Amino acid sequence: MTGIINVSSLTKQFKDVKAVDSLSFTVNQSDVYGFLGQNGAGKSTTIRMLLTLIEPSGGEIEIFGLNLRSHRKEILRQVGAIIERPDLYKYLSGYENLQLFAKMNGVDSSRKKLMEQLELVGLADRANSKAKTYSQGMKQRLGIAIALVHDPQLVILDEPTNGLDPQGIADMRNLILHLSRHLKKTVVVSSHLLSEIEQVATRMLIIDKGKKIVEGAVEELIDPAKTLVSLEATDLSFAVDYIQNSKWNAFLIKPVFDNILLQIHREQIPELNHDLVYAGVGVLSLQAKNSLENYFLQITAGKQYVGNFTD
Amino acid sequence: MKGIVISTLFLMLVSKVSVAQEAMDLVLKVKTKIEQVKDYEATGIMKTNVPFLKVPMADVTIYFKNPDKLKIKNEKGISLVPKGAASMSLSNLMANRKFTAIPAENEKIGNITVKVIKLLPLDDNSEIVLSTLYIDEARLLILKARTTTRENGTYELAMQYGKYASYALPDKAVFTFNTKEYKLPKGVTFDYDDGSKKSKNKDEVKTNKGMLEISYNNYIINKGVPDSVFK
Amino acid sequence: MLAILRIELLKIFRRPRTYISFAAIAAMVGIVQLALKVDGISYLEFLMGGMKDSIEIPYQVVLNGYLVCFIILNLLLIHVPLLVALVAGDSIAGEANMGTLRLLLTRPVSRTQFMLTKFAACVIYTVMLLIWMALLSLLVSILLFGTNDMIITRNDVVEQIQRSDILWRYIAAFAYAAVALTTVAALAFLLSIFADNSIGPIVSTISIVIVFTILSEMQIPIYDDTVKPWLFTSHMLAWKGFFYSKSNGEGEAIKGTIENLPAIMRSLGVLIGYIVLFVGSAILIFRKKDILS
Repeated sequence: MTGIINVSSLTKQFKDVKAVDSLSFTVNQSDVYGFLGQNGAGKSTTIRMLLTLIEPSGGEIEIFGLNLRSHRKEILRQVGAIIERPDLYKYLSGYENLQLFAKMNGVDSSRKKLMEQLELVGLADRANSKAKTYSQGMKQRLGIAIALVHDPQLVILDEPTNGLDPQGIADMRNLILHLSRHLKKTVVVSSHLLSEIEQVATRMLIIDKGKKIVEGAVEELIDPAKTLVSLEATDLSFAVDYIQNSKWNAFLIKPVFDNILLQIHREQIPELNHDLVYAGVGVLSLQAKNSLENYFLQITAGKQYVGNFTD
Repeated sequence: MKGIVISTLFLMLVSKVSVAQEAMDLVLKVKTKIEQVKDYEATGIMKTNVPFLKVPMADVTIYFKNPDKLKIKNEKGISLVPKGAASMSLSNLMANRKFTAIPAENEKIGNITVKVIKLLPLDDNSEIVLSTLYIDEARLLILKARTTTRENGTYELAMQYGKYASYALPDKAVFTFNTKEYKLPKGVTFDYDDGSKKSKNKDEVKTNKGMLEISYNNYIINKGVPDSVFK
Repeated sequence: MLAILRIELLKIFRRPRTYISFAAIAAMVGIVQLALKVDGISYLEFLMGGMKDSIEIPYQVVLNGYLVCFIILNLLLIHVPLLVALVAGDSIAGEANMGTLRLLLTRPVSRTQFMLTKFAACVIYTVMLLIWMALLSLLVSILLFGTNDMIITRNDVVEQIQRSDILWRYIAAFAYAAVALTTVAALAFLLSIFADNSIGPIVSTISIVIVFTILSEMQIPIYDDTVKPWLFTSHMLAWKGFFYSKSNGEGEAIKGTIENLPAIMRSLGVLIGYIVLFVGSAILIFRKKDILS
């Protein structure tokens, strides 16, 4: 299967540590490809190899059907990237930063074009301010403008929400969706914020200790039959009592302090709700928990340092 | 017999006195010739050969005023003139009348036979201890003068004459004198070592003699030279 | 590549710290000129004390603009390389520290081209610093002290150069100094690739220059024949050789000549060799380097 990115048997050995171990994956056109893994799993190393910041120890990378090693310049002309927090030249203005990178990419660096770009990210009125005066959110937006100044086909985002406030995180999420759905760009995003990946990714890769654990479309990977449901009730002990004496006992995971967890098929939620209300349980909320998080934690079971549920 | 001995002794004494007198007369004649020049301004080219100096030939102007003022100036640049160059003036040598002239064996300088006369100052405190003059008697010109001093060792002045011979002014004068060894204060500045200097120094015999040679182009004689020039 | 070079020069000259170097040079040169204007005669008496018993020295005319410039260049032997290292040592390490290095290296520019452009910008900065220094130390000195022949004091000989024979020597000396300082820049540039902070490469460069300069100047036989000829600092001083004239063997300096031009050319070759070595190594290592900053 040929995609925008084809990685086969990618390996990176750092002295005593194998950070990436025979990793293979494919990113298709228009994918929002989520890269998931715990800290130290090899996400950043892999992304840096895609961006030629790190030399692979083995394996092959093809982007746009071209070998990365031999067609580096051609490929990078069509790639934009934000690597963790956006780093800028603090002593230059926002405009000058953007101009600098436009020139490095060999694209139109006319004032009109650059001001349009800054307008798009909401920085036009601060174009001439030194970057050191920008807030973190503004720096992020400038970083986005820099990553997109040359209108790349492929956008790679490594932990793009690091250090952002909730508004910034929401903005980033909207950007990713905009890039994918409206501008038809292919986006690769790595993050440890599973909720963010879940909301934007169409396909994903989970890696652990540099090895691929699983790859595929998000909705295919998450089994609706194992949906975690959280129940809050006015009288928790009454609710627990009812469940333990009903058919729902088989699905009970654990009663906790202020809610009860069950694992049922997603489509059984209405039935459960009905039975609880009928039995006189005062249901405050009945919610399906973060299924991706659950999936991820199950997949990487054994690496958990904190129990699934807090007591 | 007695008479012959006394007469012989008397004749010897007279002849000795007469020879010494002749030497003094010659010196005085030369001095008179030299003293006809009260002052001059001369242009010339100066070459310096001192162990620790490397300087280019320079166009200089030499000012002289009787009896012993001498100044060498480089109007277009700098001239590093040896101390004691004032002794390049012959009249300086003989400014003091009070000396004894003692003749010595004639010598040859080039093809010229010169009378050698030693001048001994009568003043015991004089800086000059001995001057030896090599005089071309026919032209009444001093071709060479070697002077020994108390403080500054021995220096020598050699002259060649041409069109200004009638004034006893040389076309070329070479002044040889003693120098002290030179060393840059340590640590002042780093020198560039091109790798060749060391071997040179080992072979060279260190000499403490310097030489100044002036080739005179022309003289303006007895037209007056202000004292301010010598300050 | 020209466009990227312009970008690199923009980065250097938009940074306030760059102007500290130019201000520092102005201050240092100004201080020396002021000192010499106030009491240069005393300094000359000290410098030329070794010959004052034998030679009449006209100090007033000896202290002229050409000599003042020479004194300034001698005094700033260590200082100017420091200022060069400030920018060259920051060239890669500074980008790594700011985090911009990873951004730059994901652009469609080869690492070799990137490094060459960076180094070219360092060289241009170095040359401009030197031109600035030349203007201040030569032109301003001439304005303040006038011109005349120049008297140079060496370890065991004093040389005189005629006024009309000086300017071309200064041009040659400054051109040579540009190569010498570029060698320091190349060293700082090489060290810059190993650090994420520019302090390390800057301090390391200066330490190396100081230690090597001491080794170059110490008269210890064990070093003289073995180590000294290979230290680049031994050859950095060769700019002075342009002020040493040939002699005719009778103590007379021959106008328009250089005492040992082949030696200067050899030194120049050594410096160029070091530049190629340092920059070549920097490029080779950097091409394979993993950017983890």
